[in-house]
Amino acid sequence: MKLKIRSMKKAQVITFDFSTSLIVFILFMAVFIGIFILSQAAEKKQEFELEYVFANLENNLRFSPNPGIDFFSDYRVDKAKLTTFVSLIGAGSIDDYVIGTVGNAHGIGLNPSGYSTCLYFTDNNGSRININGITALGYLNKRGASCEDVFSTSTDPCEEYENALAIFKPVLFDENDVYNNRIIQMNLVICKK
Amino acid sequence: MKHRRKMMGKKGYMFTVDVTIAIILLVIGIAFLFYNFKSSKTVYFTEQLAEDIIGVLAYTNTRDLCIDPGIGASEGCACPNYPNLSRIVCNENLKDADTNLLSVLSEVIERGLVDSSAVKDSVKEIFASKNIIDEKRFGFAILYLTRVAPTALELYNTECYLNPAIC
Repeated sequence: MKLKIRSMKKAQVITFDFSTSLIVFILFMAVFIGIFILSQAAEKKQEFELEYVFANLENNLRFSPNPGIDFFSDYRVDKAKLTTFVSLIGAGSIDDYVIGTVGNAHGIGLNPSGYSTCLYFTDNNGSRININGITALGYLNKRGASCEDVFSTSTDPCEEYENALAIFKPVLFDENDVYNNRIIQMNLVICKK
Repeated sequence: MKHRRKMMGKKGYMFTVDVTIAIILLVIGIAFLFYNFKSSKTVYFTEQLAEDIIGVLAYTNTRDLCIDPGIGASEGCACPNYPNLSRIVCNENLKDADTNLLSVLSEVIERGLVDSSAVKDSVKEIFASKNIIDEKRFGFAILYLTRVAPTALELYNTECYLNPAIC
């Protein structure tokens, strides 16, 4: 009788131990899977929004209060207007134009303070096109340097950022001269803080 | 007493194995989470690329790249930076030469004005040879569909895909 009670007690302890470990295991698994699914969804959302940065840039340039800087429209980059834009921006930030909203434009709803962006144009020989001495527009806040300076060091521009995104678009580089007009690559590097 | 000691030892051994496995699982889990959140990775967009290839062809006019389109090369027509495109645009049989590149390509294919290699060479010249799309990183094919043709006509396919040995 005593032996029976002892073995039943033992069985109870084992059952309790097993149930506890199972519950803890299920809880841990649920937390891990939940966090994984959430992170995937967040990444997808971010990509979806950033898909429209070229359209956002085009829109911002059109509605900007500064006249004559709408250099990009309908897969065409107007060199004369791009030169005006480069003179206006210099080594400063272009985050408002790419991620945010300028003037009365409808933006993609992202806060430019969360991103740093660089814009450059790759020529048919693979080199970056030089406009008024600048080959890469934009400013990387976290690194405290212009895109031009960071690019010249050949390091990853988004080195100190959480995420990096590289987008390109084939565009006609319109120099208003059939001998120099050519289809080139317009590049955007977006670093997420 | 001896038996009890032996049993306790066995129990202790089992608990140690249990704790070791639990710690290993915990470390794997934390490492997985850390990797998922902390790794700085570069994401490349390719979804939009097909639309962009068609888009730039649709928005670029023949006069942007060529001199006097629609007349023969001997009469002065030329595409200074795109000799292969000249084979298509400098054709006196074109009904509409003063239009965008996509329309001109469609016309020469539909009416059989040039051989298929001219279209293929032109696409290669515009996008692959001039560093617009790196064929080693992005494979792409251009297919042409008509209402009458039973299958899609392949205008261009990445050379790396056709002949992987060259890449």
